[in-house]
Order: sequence, then C-alpha cells, then structure tokens
Amino acid sequence: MKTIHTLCALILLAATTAAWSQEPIRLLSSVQKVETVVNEQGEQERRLVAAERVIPGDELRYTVTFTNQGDEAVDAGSIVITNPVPSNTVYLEGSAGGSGTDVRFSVDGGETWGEPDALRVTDEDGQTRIADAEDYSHIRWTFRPALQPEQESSVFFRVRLR
Amino acid sequence: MFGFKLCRAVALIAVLGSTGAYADVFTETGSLGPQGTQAGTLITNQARAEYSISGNTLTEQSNVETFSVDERIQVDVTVQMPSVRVQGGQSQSLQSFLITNLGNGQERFSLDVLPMAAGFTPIFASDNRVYRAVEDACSMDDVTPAQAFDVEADQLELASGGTILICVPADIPADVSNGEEGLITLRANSETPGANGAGIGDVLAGAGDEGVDAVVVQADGRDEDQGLYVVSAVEVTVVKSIAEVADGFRTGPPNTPQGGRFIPDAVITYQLDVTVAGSGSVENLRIVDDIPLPNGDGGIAYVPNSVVVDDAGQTDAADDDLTTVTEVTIDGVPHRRITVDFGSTSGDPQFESVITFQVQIQ
Repeated sequence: MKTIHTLCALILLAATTAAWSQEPIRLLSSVQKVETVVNEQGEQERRLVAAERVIPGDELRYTVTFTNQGDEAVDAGSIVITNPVPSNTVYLEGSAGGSGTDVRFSVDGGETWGEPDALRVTDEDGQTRIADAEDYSHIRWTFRPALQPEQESSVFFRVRLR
Repeated sequence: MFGFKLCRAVALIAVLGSTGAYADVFTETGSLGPQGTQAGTLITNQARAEYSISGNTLTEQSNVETFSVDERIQVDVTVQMPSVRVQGGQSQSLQSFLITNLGNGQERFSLDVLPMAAGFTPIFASDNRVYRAVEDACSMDDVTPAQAFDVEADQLELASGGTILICVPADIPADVSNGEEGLITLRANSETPGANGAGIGDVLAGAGDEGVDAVVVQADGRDEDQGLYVVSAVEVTVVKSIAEVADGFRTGPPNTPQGGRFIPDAVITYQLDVTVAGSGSVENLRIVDDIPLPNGDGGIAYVPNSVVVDDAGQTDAADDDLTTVTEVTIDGVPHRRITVDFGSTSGDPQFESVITFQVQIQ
C-alpha cells in the first residue's frame, strides 16, 4: 500500500515537473561584476566579469532574460517582470533598462509603483521627501511588444554591494 | 562557521605548541559598526514574471541566482595627537594610536613598533610592551598587566568596524636639544596567511571568514601611522575666558545670579591667563587678540584703553607700557588688534600673567 502511495506521489511529481518545464516563458537571472580597469591607452574602461570575487563597494549588474519557449505569442504589453533589489545592495540610479520596456520602481516592497519623481518616502523625523535610488525596494519592467515563439529579450539593472 | 573557527583555534594551539609561548588575543574596545556586508553573506536574487497568452494570465519565477560576499582585508592606524611635547630624559612618554578593522570580516592583526630617527630616535620599551588604553585615555598610572600587549607574541582580533586604542611608550634620550623631533611608528599587520607580501587587489583563495576568498586592498595587508615627539623645554599656555558681564543692573561672572545678561550696551570683561612653564625660556613672548570692529548688524566693540595687565592699566598707544592696540584687516574685515609684548620670559620659576580687556555689545 505504501509502495503504491509513493508511486502515485512520484507520478504526480513527474507530471508537475513536466508541466513546469513546459511553461511558455523561461526566466533566467544572472549576475556579473562591473570592473573598472585602465587600458593600454591609460583610459579607464568598465567591463563585466564573473561575480566570483565580490566585496563591499563593488558594482554588480543583474540581467533577467525571458524567452518564449511555447508555440503561441505572448500578448503584447502583458509581460511584467518584477525583481526585488537584492538584500545588502543599493540600486544605482538610472541603471534599470531593457529594450521595449517601461520601468517603474517601488519603495514599499512592491505595494505601489511609480516613476522616480513620483516616489515619496517618510523619514524617521516624519518629513516626506522624494525617494532616493537607495530607497527603492523593487523594480518592475513592462514589456510593450508581443513576444513571439522562440523570441528572447532581457532587462537589467545595477546595484552596489553595501 | 563553527568548523572554521575551530580550525583557527586548533591552528593557534598548534602554533603555541610549537613555540611554547603564551599569546594573548586582544579584542575591540569600541566599534564603528560593521564595515559593509559581512564576509560570507549569501546574496540571492529571483525575478518573477506575469504575462498572458490569449488573455490567460500565467506567472513564472526565475532561478535563484546566488553569490557569496568575499572578505576585504583593510585596517587603519591613526595617531591621535599630531605631536607630543617631551623633555630630554623623559621616560615612558606615550603616543596613542587608534586601530580600526575596516574590513568586512573578523580579522587578526599583529603589531610592530618602529622607532625612527628624525632628529633623535625614541627608545621603545625593552620589554616590547604596548598598552591597551582604558576609557579612551593613555596613561601609565595604575596600568595593569591585563593592558600589556607583547608586540612579539600577542595579537588583536577585531570584528568588522572594531576599534582599539593602543598606547605606545618610548623613552626620550637625555642628550636632545630644544625643538628636536623623534618619530615612532605603529604598524598593524593582517595575520591572514598570504597577506604579508600581497599586493593591492591580490586574492587569498579561501582565506576569508566562512572560507570565502579574501581580497587585500592595502599592500601587505597592513597600515601604519607615525607619532611625533617634539622636545620642548618650555610650554606656553593661554586660556581665554569671560571674567564678568556688566549690563547696568548686575556685574559678575556670566551665567551666575550676580552676572549681567548679554544685552545691548552690556560690557564684557575678557580674561587671558598666560603661563610659561618648564626649564627653558621664550624670547619675544607676544600675546595677540583680534576683535572685529562692529558693523551695521551689531556685534561687539573694543572699549578703548581697557587693557589691564596684572592690575596695571594700559593705554592703547605704542608707548612705554606692554600694550598696543592697532587696526588690522583680516580677510577683508577690519579688526582691533590687542598686542601685549612680554619680551623674554623664563619658565623657571613659572611665569604667570593675567590680561583683561573689555568689549561692549552693540
């Protein structure tokens, strides 16, 4: 009896996994470190390297890639990607973007959203002010076009490790 | 974490076993707070997507992207007094240095004391001991054995942002001359294996807290600062205070029941206590005080001929008394300059003088 239950559970799990792997959109998050080096001409150059050695103060670039692996187009304007600003990091002003997207930010854990000029925070002394980039808790991108089968696009943002 | 600390403890015991010495470990007595995200912290990220196909709403989570924070090895040593006045033959003259772990992990440091010749070479204690300050003050009075740090054997272990104030004693040679200078350097060295000899940006694989990599951001993983000793056989001090305020109703020290209030027309009597102490002498001791002229917005005005030196009234004119009052311009602002010229004075016996003068609130 117990064996049958276990078998059923396995079949269910296999079915769930199969369903998961067939989700039309595949979402992949990756991170790289932004390194500033001086090139042979003596100029400062920024380049992306693997985030293998990261210490406080380092700048990081996150990329979220989304791919339509299904057979049907995803509705235009329907893809909304939400990413929290990772803990122990500070969002860098103006760094969020992505082709064909509108970007909004939240300062309240994703409850409300707005463009930078519209966001307000209340300080400990009760004073309300325009939010700074370091107040942002979440970033949200709305992808305007439809995403056709096998089409891929990405959004990105940068942070500094506290 | 426990395993790593246990390994370090075992390693320390192994070192002690091999040398037979007993080493003390001093921990921080203050803190600036953690210097950035703690080494070993995992930083994770997961994005979420919501979308629709033919009007049917679906959601999807990304993978969880994770990396660990590496350890930055960084220490700061800062001398607390720009210079310390000493006399020839003085023993255990103290310099104080604040050591701060600016890294983002727990770090061990050893210390070196390096006397350097500028004019003279201070003589560091023969027992190689420096001392942990008590209540942010360096003093050899009532110093206890628990404060003594043997630079040959002992180590510091500071949490991120942890600070400790270290007092370095040195004897001053007897045959020094007035104005001569000597330097003493305190150096803090990271004890992470490989830090010594590392260049800026070098990575010590697996040497950080929790087994993460450690990144050296200072050459050799160390910092140092110099304390300056200046031989001065004589010391001049000037202390300025308000002796009394007279507002037409009351006259007495400020902020006392009999003292006047700082209201227009009130007269303030300032006092300068001048002391020359020590075995040497000073040539051309001249005390100068500049008082801005009142402008349209009020301010204070010097009361002419109000200077008194040791109960002797003075005139503003350049005459036979000690005082001259002139007009000078400082940064474009006109001032009255009071100059009291004592000429040559000796510290033995101690020279003391009291200068008073008055200003009126406009």
